[in-house]
Amino acid sequence: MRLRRLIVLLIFAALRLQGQEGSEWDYELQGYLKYFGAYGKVNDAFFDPNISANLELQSFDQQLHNRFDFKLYHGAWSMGIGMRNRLFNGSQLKSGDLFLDILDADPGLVDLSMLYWRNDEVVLHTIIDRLWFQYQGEKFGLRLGRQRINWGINTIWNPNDILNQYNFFDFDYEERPGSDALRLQYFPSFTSTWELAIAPAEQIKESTAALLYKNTQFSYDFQIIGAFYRNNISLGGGWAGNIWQLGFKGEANYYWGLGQAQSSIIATGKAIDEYNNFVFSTALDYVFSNGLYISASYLLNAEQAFTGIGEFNSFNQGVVLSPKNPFPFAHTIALNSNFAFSPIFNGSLTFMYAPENQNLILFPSLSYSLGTNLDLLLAAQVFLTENARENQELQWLSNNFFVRLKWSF
Amino acid sequence: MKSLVLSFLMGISLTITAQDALEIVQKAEDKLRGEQSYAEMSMTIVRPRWERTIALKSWSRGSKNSLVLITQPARDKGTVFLKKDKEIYNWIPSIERNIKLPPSMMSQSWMGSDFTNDDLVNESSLVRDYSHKYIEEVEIDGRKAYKIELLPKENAAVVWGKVVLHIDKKEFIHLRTEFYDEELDLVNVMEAKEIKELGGKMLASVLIMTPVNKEGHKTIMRYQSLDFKVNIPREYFTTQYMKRIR
Repeated sequence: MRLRRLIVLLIFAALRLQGQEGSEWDYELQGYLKYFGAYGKVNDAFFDPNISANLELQSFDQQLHNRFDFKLYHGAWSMGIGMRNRLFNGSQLKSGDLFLDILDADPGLVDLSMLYWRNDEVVLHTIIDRLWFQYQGEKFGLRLGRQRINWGINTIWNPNDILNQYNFFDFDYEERPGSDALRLQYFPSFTSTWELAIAPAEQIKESTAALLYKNTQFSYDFQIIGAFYRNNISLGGGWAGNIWQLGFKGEANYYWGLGQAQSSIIATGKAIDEYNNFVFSTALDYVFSNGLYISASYLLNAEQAFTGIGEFNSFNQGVVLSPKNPFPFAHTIALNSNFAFSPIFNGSLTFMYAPENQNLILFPSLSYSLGTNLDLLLAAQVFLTENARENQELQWLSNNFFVRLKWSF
Repeated sequence: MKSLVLSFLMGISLTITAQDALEIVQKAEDKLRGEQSYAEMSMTIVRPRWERTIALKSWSRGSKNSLVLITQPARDKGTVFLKKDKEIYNWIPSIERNIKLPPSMMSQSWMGSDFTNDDLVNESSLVRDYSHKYIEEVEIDGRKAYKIELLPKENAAVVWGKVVLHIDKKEFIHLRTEFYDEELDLVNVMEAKEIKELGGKMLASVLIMTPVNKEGHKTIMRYQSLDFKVNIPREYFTTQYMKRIR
C-alpha cells in the first residue's frame, strides 16, 4: 500500500515537473549500415594430425549489419530502442546449429532475439539490445528495461562493470550488449551520485543487484560498489585521477562465492558461485605532443577460471565475459596506442602479454574516413601461445583479419 | 572638426604605452569572454584533398567550465566533452560511458583541427601570460586596428614564442592574430571575417586558422549563434548532466 502511494506521488511529481519543462515531443533516430568481413586461420601445429585433418582451419565470414537507435523525449520522460540487424554468410553457418544457438541466445530476462530467415547461404538475425523507459528529474532518475549500465572506469578491463561486461576483442559490437534491469539514480550534490541497479533473472541465484556511490575529492573521482552478483557477494571500488600529466585509473572487486564448493585453489571449470576471486585492474595514460596516445594497463584475475587455449582463441567471436572472470589469465599487461596520421586517418595498436604459458595478443587497426559519413576499417587479431606439442615453443595459434565499411546516418 | 578629433586620436595612438596596450588586449578579451555563453557553430577542417565539417553546441561559464556537444557528423553525434577546471571528460553516447581524459590531452589538436583544446577553452591568457607592446596602427579589410606584439612572460606555460595581435580600434575584435614558435618563425595565422552582431555584440562570425607552412590547410569556425546573456545553471558542468544534454 505504501509503495503504491509512493509510486503515485512520484508520478504526480514527474507530471508537474514535465509541465514546467514544456511538453513538446522530440525524437532522435540514428544508425548505420556496415559491411563486415572476417578471415581467420588456426595453426594446425597445435592439434594432433588426426584431429586437425577433420578441423576447418580457415574461415571466411561476412555480415551486412544494420543498426537503428531511436529515442523519444517528452519533458522529463524518455524512451529508447536499439535494434541490431545482421545478415550472416560464410563459414560460421557451416558449423550448423551451434552457431545459430549461440547467436539466438538472449541472455536477458525477456527474449528479444529473433532468427527469422535461414537457408544454406544466409541467416538473418535481429536483437533488440536497448529497450528502456526513463524518468529523469533534477535529483532523481529511473530507468527500466534493457539498457547499458556502465560503471567501469578503465578502457580495457573493468572489474567494476558488474552489470555490463564487454569483450575488448568483439570490437564490431560498438554499442555492446545491454542487460534487463531497473536503475535508480539519486544525486545528493553536483559531484555525488547513488545508483541502485537490479537485474532480475528467473532464479534469485542468477540475479544481480548492485549499489554504487561515487564522488569527487581532491580532483580524484572515486566510487564504491556493493553487490549481489549471481550468487556471489562482491565489494569493490575504483578511481580516476592524475599523476602530473598522466591519467591514473583503477578498479577492484572481491567476490565471495556463495555456492557449494568454495575454494581458494585455482578454480578451473568451477561454476561462477563456487569460488572466491579478487579482480583488479589499473592503467596509466598519456598524450604526447604529437598526438600519440598511450595507455598501459594491468589486470589481476587472481583465481582465473578459464579452461585453456580454446577460450583464448574464441575471443573475437562475441563471447560475453563475466566481471568475476574478465580475462583468461591471472596476470595480463596491455599496451594500447592510438595515433591520428591525419584527422581522417587513424591507427591503433594493442599489445597484450600474459606470462603464464606465454600468451601474446596483437591487435592493430587502421581506420580511414572516405567521406563525411563513410568509414573504412582494417584490423587484425593475432593470438600467440606456447605449443605443448612442439617443446613449448611460442607460435601463432590463430590469425584473424577484418575489413569493415560503415555508413552512418 | 572631424579631422581635428581624428588627429587628436592619432596623437594619442602615437604615444600608446605598454599599459595601454594591455588595456586594449584586456578589452578585446572581455568582449569575447562574457561570464556565460552559449554558441552553435560549425568547424570545417580543410586539407588539400578533402574537407570535413563538425557541428557543435557549446556552453561556457567563466573560463573554467565548458561543455561541448557534437551534433554532426552522424558518427559522432551526441558525443560530449566537459572541461571542469583542469579535468576533461568525454561522454560516448553509444556505450553510455564517461571517460576521464588525461591532462596532457589539453594541448592536443581538437577533433583533428588546427585548433588545440587549449585554444578553445582559452586556458592560457593573452592578458596574464604575456607582456604587451604597441607597434603601430594598421588597416585590415578596410578597418583600422592596433597592432600589438606579445612576448611570453618568464615561466608562463604557453606554447608560443611570440603572438602579434591586430585589434579593431572601434569594436575591439581580434582581426588578425599571428602565432610564432619559440624560434620566432610564423606558424599560424588566425583571421576574423564577416563581422556582425552576435549575441548583442559586434563580433566576427567566421574565424579562419591557417597554418603558414602547410599549403592548402586551414580550419574555419563559423558561428551560427552566440549568446552572452544566457543563464546557464551550474549543474550543466557536471558529469551527471553531460549525459543528459541534447
